[in-house]
Amino acid sequence: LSEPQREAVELAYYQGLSHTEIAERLNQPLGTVKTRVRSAMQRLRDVLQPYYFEPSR
Amino acid sequence: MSDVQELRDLAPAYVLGALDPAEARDFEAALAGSPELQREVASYREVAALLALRDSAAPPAGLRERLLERVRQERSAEPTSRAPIVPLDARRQPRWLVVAPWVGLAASLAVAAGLGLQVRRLERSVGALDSTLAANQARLAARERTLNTILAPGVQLVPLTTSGEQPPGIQLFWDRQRNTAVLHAFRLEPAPEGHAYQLWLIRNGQPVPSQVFNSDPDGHALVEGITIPTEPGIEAYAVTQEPAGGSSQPTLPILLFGRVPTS
Repeated sequence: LSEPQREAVELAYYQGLSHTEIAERLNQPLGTVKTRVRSAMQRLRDVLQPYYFEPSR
Repeated sequence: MSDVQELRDLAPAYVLGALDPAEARDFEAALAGSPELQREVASYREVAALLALRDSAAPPAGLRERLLERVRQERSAEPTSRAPIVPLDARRQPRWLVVAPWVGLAASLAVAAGLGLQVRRLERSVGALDSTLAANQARLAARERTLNTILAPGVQLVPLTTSGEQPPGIQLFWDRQRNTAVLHAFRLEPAPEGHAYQLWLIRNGQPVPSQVFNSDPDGHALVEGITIPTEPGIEAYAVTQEPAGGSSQPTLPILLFGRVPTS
Protein backbone atom coordinates (compact mmCIF):
# COMPACT_ATOMS: atom_id res chain seq x y z
CA LEU A 1 0.00 0.00 0.00
CA SER A 2 1.12 3.53 -0.61
CA GLU A 3 1.55 5.73 2.43
CA PRO A 4 -1.58 7.83 1.66
CA GLN A 5 -3.66 4.66 1.19
CA ARG A 6 -2.46 3.21 4.42
CA GLU A 7 -3.14 6.43 6.27
CA ALA A 8 -6.70 6.55 4.94
CA VAL A 9 -7.43 2.97 6.01
CA GLU A 10 -5.94 3.53 9.44
CA LEU A 11 -8.03 6.63 10.03
CA ALA A 12 -11.17 4.85 8.87
CA TYR A 13 -10.52 1.60 10.67
CA TYR A 14 -8.72 2.47 13.87
CA GLN A 15 -10.13 5.91 14.48
CA GLY A 16 -13.59 5.26 13.12
CA LEU A 17 -13.61 8.36 10.92
CA SER A 18 -15.91 8.80 7.95
CA HIS A 19 -14.82 9.84 4.47
CA THR A 20 -15.70 13.44 5.19
CA GLU A 21 -13.88 13.45 8.52
CA ILE A 22 -10.79 11.93 6.95
CA ALA A 23 -10.86 14.53 4.19
CA GLU A 24 -11.04 17.30 6.78
CA ARG A 25 -8.31 15.76 8.91
CA LEU A 26 -5.94 15.40 5.99
CA ASN A 27 -7.07 18.56 4.23
CA GLN A 28 -7.61 16.58 1.04
CA PRO A 29 -10.49 16.57 -1.44
CA LEU A 30 -13.29 14.17 -0.53
CA GLY A 31 -13.02 12.36 -3.86
CA THR A 32 -9.33 11.72 -3.29
CA VAL A 33 -9.98 10.21 0.12
CA LYS A 34 -12.75 7.99 -1.24
CA THR A 35 -10.45 6.73 -3.96
CA ARG A 36 -7.66 6.01 -1.49
CA VAL A 37 -9.88 4.03 0.87
CA ARG A 38 -11.35 2.06 -2.00
CA SER A 39 -8.02 1.35 -3.69
CA ALA A 40 -6.41 0.31 -0.43
CA MET A 41 -9.15 -2.16 0.43
CA GLN A 42 -9.19 -3.52 -3.12
CA ARG A 43 -5.45 -3.98 -2.99
CA LEU A 44 -5.65 -5.78 0.36
CA ARG A 45 -8.41 -7.99 -0.96
CA ASP A 46 -6.46 -8.84 -4.10
CA VAL A 47 -3.40 -9.78 -2.07
CA LEU A 48 -5.24 -11.80 0.53
CA GLN A 49 -7.99 -13.40 -1.52
CA PRO A 50 -6.10 -16.39 -2.92
CA TYR A 51 -4.97 -17.49 0.50
CA TYR A 52 -7.51 -16.33 2.95
CA PHE A 53 -10.89 -16.89 1.36
CA GLU A 54 -12.69 -20.19 1.25
CA PRO A 55 -12.23 -21.92 -2.10
CA SER A 56 -15.98 -21.81 -2.74
CA ARG A 57 -15.91 -18.05 -3.09
CA MET B 1 -25.13 0.75 -15.39
CA SER B 2 -22.84 3.18 -13.69
CA ASP B 3 -25.11 3.25 -10.66
CA VAL B 4 -24.26 -0.35 -9.85
CA GLN B 5 -20.54 0.34 -10.21
CA GLU B 6 -20.83 3.36 -7.94
CA LEU B 7 -22.49 1.24 -5.29
CA ARG B 8 -19.85 -1.45 -5.62
CA ASP B 9 -17.22 1.20 -5.13
CA LEU B 10 -18.80 2.13 -1.82
CA ALA B 11 -18.57 -1.40 -0.40
CA PRO B 12 -15.04 -1.14 1.06
CA ALA B 13 -15.83 2.10 2.84
CA TYR B 14 -19.15 0.69 4.04
CA VAL B 15 -17.37 -2.24 5.67
CA LEU B 16 -14.95 0.15 7.38
CA GLY B 17 -17.87 2.26 8.58
CA ALA B 18 -16.46 5.22 6.67
CA LEU B 19 -19.55 6.17 4.68
CA ASP B 20 -21.32 9.35 5.60
CA PRO B 21 -24.81 8.76 7.03
CA ALA B 22 -26.75 9.57 3.85
CA GLU B 23 -24.45 7.39 1.73
CA ALA B 24 -24.72 4.57 4.26
CA ARG B 25 -28.52 4.71 4.12
CA ASP B 26 -28.55 4.58 0.33
CA PHE B 27 -26.05 1.75 0.33
CA GLU B 28 -27.98 -0.31 2.85
CA ALA B 29 -31.20 0.16 0.89
CA ALA B 30 -29.48 -1.21 -2.22
CA LEU B 31 -27.64 -3.92 -0.29
CA ALA B 32 -30.83 -5.59 0.91
CA GLY B 33 -31.90 -6.40 -2.62
CA SER B 34 -28.58 -7.17 -4.25
CA PRO B 35 -26.83 -10.52 -3.81
CA GLU B 36 -23.92 -9.10 -5.79
CA LEU B 37 -23.42 -6.27 -3.32
CA GLN B 38 -23.81 -8.70 -0.45
CA ARG B 39 -20.99 -10.83 -1.87
CA GLU B 40 -18.89 -7.74 -2.32
CA VAL B 41 -19.46 -6.70 1.28
CA ALA B 42 -18.73 -10.21 2.53
CA SER B 43 -15.39 -10.25 0.74
CA TYR B 44 -14.33 -6.94 2.24
CA ARG B 45 -15.42 -8.11 5.67
CA GLU B 46 -12.86 -10.87 5.32
CA VAL B 47 -10.23 -8.21 4.73
CA ALA B 48 -11.47 -6.19 7.70
CA ALA B 49 -11.42 -9.35 9.78
CA LEU B 50 -7.74 -9.71 9.08
CA LEU B 51 -7.18 -6.12 10.12
CA ALA B 52 -9.08 -6.88 13.31
CA LEU B 53 -7.13 -10.09 13.76
CA ARG B 54 -10.19 -11.77 15.25
CA ASP B 55 -9.93 -9.56 18.30
CA SER B 56 -12.72 -7.38 19.58
CA ALA B 57 -12.35 -3.98 18.04
CA ALA B 58 -10.52 -1.48 20.16
CA PRO B 59 -12.23 1.82 20.86
CA PRO B 60 -11.26 4.54 18.43
CA ALA B 61 -8.79 7.07 19.75
CA GLY B 62 -10.57 10.08 21.13
CA LEU B 63 -13.70 8.26 22.21
CA ARG B 64 -12.95 8.81 25.87
CA GLU B 65 -12.29 12.50 25.31
CA ARG B 66 -15.57 12.87 23.43
CA LEU B 67 -17.45 11.16 26.25
CA LEU B 68 -15.83 13.36 28.87
CA GLU B 69 -16.67 16.41 26.81
CA ARG B 70 -20.26 15.20 26.76
CA VAL B 71 -20.18 14.86 30.53
CA ARG B 72 -18.89 18.44 30.86
CA GLN B 73 -21.63 19.74 28.60
CA GLU B 74 -24.28 17.87 30.54
CA ARG B 75 -22.93 19.12 33.82
CA SER B 76 -23.00 22.72 32.69
CA ALA B 77 -26.56 22.23 31.43
CA GLU B 78 -27.52 21.20 35.00
CA PRO B 79 -30.02 18.55 34.13
CA THR B 80 -32.91 18.24 36.55
CA SER B 81 -35.17 15.67 35.01
CA ARG B 82 -34.70 12.01 35.67
CA ALA B 83 -35.20 10.56 32.28
CA PRO B 84 -35.63 6.82 32.00
CA ILE B 85 -32.43 5.03 31.21
CA VAL B 86 -32.22 3.86 27.66
CA PRO B 87 -30.58 0.46 27.52
CA LEU B 88 -27.43 0.83 25.48
CA ASP B 89 -28.24 -2.25 23.47
CA ALA B 90 -31.49 -0.77 22.25
CA ARG B 91 -29.71 1.85 20.24
CA ARG B 92 -27.01 -0.25 18.72
CA GLN B 93 -26.69 -0.21 15.01
CA PRO B 94 -25.65 -3.55 13.58
CA ARG B 95 -23.57 -1.92 10.86
CA TRP B 96 -21.15 -0.53 13.39
CA LEU B 97 -20.85 -3.73 15.33
CA VAL B 98 -19.15 -5.50 12.50
CA VAL B 99 -16.12 -3.30 12.38
CA ALA B 100 -16.21 -1.01 15.37
CA PRO B 101 -18.59 -1.86 18.18
CA TRP B 102 -17.27 1.08 20.10
CA VAL B 103 -18.67 3.49 17.59
CA GLY B 104 -22.09 2.01 18.27
CA LEU B 105 -21.52 2.41 21.97
CA ALA B 106 -20.50 6.02 21.53
CA ALA B 107 -23.60 6.64 19.45
CA SER B 108 -25.72 4.98 22.14
CA LEU B 109 -24.21 7.10 24.85
CA ALA B 110 -24.72 10.22 22.79
CA VAL B 111 -28.39 9.33 22.33
CA ALA B 112 -28.75 8.58 26.02
CA ALA B 113 -27.15 11.89 26.89
CA GLY B 114 -29.39 13.68 24.43
CA LEU B 115 -32.35 12.27 26.31
CA GLY B 116 -31.18 13.95 29.47
CA LEU B 117 -29.62 11.01 31.22
CA GLN B 118 -28.10 11.98 34.53
CA VAL B 119 -24.52 13.12 34.51
CA ARG B 120 -23.56 10.65 37.22
CA ARG B 121 -24.77 7.72 35.19
CA LEU B 122 -22.74 8.90 32.27
CA GLU B 123 -19.72 9.31 34.50
CA ARG B 124 -20.12 5.72 35.57
CA SER B 125 -20.17 4.76 31.92
CA VAL B 126 -16.93 6.62 31.45
CA GLY B 127 -15.46 4.86 34.48
CA ALA B 128 -16.45 1.48 33.09
CA LEU B 129 -15.08 2.51 29.74
CA ASP B 130 -11.79 3.53 31.35
CA SER B 131 -11.13 0.05 32.63
CA THR B 132 -12.11 -1.46 29.31
CA LEU B 133 -9.89 1.06 27.58
CA ALA B 134 -6.94 0.10 29.74
CA ALA B 135 -7.54 -3.54 28.95
CA ASN B 136 -7.65 -2.75 25.26
CA GLN B 137 -4.63 -0.47 25.09
CA ALA B 138 -2.09 -3.25 24.93
CA ARG B 139 -4.07 -5.13 22.34
CA LEU B 140 -4.46 -2.01 20.25
CA ALA B 141 -0.75 -1.32 20.41
CA ALA B 142 0.00 -4.90 19.44
CA ARG B 143 -2.42 -4.73 16.57
CA GLU B 144 -0.93 -1.53 15.27
CA ARG B 145 2.49 -3.11 15.36
CA THR B 146 1.12 -6.04 13.44
CA LEU B 147 -0.56 -3.80 10.92
CA ASN B 148 2.63 -1.85 10.52
CA THR B 149 4.48 -5.03 9.72
CA ILE B 150 1.83 -6.31 7.35
CA LEU B 151 1.41 -3.06 5.48
CA ALA B 152 4.95 -1.73 5.53
CA PRO B 153 6.60 -1.11 2.19
CA GLY B 154 8.83 -3.97 1.14
CA VAL B 155 6.97 -6.61 3.10
CA GLN B 156 6.92 -9.87 1.25
CA LEU B 157 3.98 -12.22 1.57
CA VAL B 158 5.05 -15.86 1.58
CA PRO B 159 2.06 -18.20 1.37
CA LEU B 160 2.60 -21.64 2.93
CA THR B 161 0.27 -24.20 1.46
CA THR B 162 -0.52 -27.86 1.34
CA SER B 163 -2.84 -30.06 -0.69
CA GLY B 164 -6.31 -31.32 0.07
CA GLU B 165 -9.82 -30.02 0.19
CA GLN B 166 -10.24 -27.01 2.48
CA PRO B 167 -6.51 -27.18 3.27
CA PRO B 168 -4.94 -25.19 6.07
CA GLY B 169 -2.83 -22.25 5.03
CA ILE B 170 -0.34 -19.80 6.45
CA GLN B 171 0.48 -16.28 5.40
CA LEU B 172 3.93 -15.18 6.41
CA PHE B 173 4.38 -11.43 6.18
CA TRP B 174 8.12 -11.05 6.02
CA ASP B 175 9.50 -7.57 6.60
CA ARG B 176 12.87 -7.95 4.95
CA GLN B 177 14.07 -4.53 5.99
CA ARG B 178 13.49 -5.11 9.69
CA ASN B 179 14.11 -8.86 9.63
CA THR B 180 10.84 -9.63 11.35
CA ALA B 181 7.74 -11.51 10.33
CA VAL B 182 4.12 -11.97 11.29
CA LEU B 183 2.57 -15.38 10.81
CA HIS B 184 -1.15 -15.82 10.24
CA ALA B 185 -2.52 -19.35 10.04
CA PHE B 186 -6.05 -20.38 9.13
CA ARG B 187 -7.96 -23.68 9.02
CA LEU B 188 -5.07 -25.16 11.00
CA GLU B 189 -6.31 -27.62 13.60
CA PRO B 190 -4.66 -27.21 17.00
CA ALA B 191 -1.78 -29.63 17.49
CA PRO B 192 -2.60 -32.57 19.80
CA GLU B 193 -1.80 -32.49 23.50
CA GLY B 194 1.93 -32.14 24.15
CA HIS B 195 2.64 -31.00 20.60
CA ALA B 196 2.94 -27.73 18.75
CA TYR B 197 3.71 -26.42 15.31
CA GLN B 198 7.13 -25.12 14.40
CA LEU B 199 8.18 -22.78 11.65
CA TRP B 200 11.42 -23.54 9.77
CA LEU B 201 13.44 -21.39 7.46
CA ILE B 202 15.02 -23.33 4.64
CA ARG B 203 18.37 -21.66 4.05
CA ASN B 204 20.73 -23.04 1.43
CA GLY B 205 18.82 -26.30 1.60
CA GLN B 206 19.13 -26.63 5.38
CA PRO B 207 16.28 -26.28 7.89
CA VAL B 208 16.82 -23.59 10.52
CA PRO B 209 14.46 -23.78 13.53
CA SER B 210 12.22 -20.80 14.15
CA GLN B 211 9.04 -19.99 16.05
CA VAL B 212 7.01 -22.64 17.90
CA PHE B 213 3.28 -21.93 17.95
CA ASN B 214 -0.15 -23.49 18.12
CA SER B 215 -3.51 -22.55 16.68
CA ASP B 216 -6.72 -21.66 18.48
CA PRO B 217 -9.67 -24.03 18.49
CA ASP B 218 -11.10 -22.01 15.59
CA GLY B 219 -8.06 -22.92 13.49
CA HIS B 220 -6.43 -19.51 13.53
CA ALA B 221 -3.00 -18.54 14.80
CA LEU B 222 -1.35 -15.18 14.84
CA VAL B 223 2.31 -14.95 15.80
CA GLU B 224 3.93 -11.56 15.87
CA GLY B 225 7.50 -10.44 16.26
CA ILE B 226 9.18 -13.45 14.68
CA THR B 227 12.85 -12.66 14.21
CA ILE B 228 14.23 -13.73 10.87
CA PRO B 229 18.03 -14.11 10.55
CA THR B 230 19.68 -11.51 8.37
CA GLU B 231 21.90 -13.96 6.51
CA PRO B 232 20.95 -14.32 2.86
CA GLY B 233 19.92 -17.58 1.27
CA ILE B 234 16.46 -18.16 2.72
CA GLU B 235 14.70 -20.06 -0.04
CA ALA B 236 11.55 -21.27 1.62
CA TYR B 237 9.56 -21.65 4.80
CA ALA B 238 8.07 -24.85 6.19
CA VAL B 239 5.93 -25.93 9.13
CA THR B 240 6.06 -29.26 10.96
CA GLN B 241 4.49 -30.71 14.06
CA GLU B 242 6.91 -31.09 16.95
CA PRO B 243 6.92 -31.81 20.68
CA ALA B 244 5.54 -28.81 22.57
CA GLY B 245 8.99 -27.33 23.23
CA GLY B 246 10.06 -27.39 19.61
CA SER B 247 12.96 -29.27 18.01
CA SER B 248 16.37 -28.53 16.57
CA GLN B 249 15.73 -30.78 13.58
CA PRO B 250 12.35 -31.05 11.86
CA THR B 251 10.15 -34.08 12.43
CA LEU B 252 8.82 -35.13 9.04
CA PRO B 253 6.49 -34.85 7.28
CA ILE B 254 6.45 -31.19 6.34
CA LEU B 255 2.87 -30.04 6.80
CA LEU B 256 2.98 -26.72 5.02
CA PHE B 257 5.54 -25.34 2.64
CA GLY B 258 6.07 -22.06 0.86
CA ARG B 259 8.86 -21.04 -1.44
CA VAL B 260 10.00 -17.44 -1.19
CA PRO B 261 8.88 -15.76 -4.41
CA THR B 262 11.77 -14.39 -6.41
CA SER B 263 11.02 -10.93 -7.64
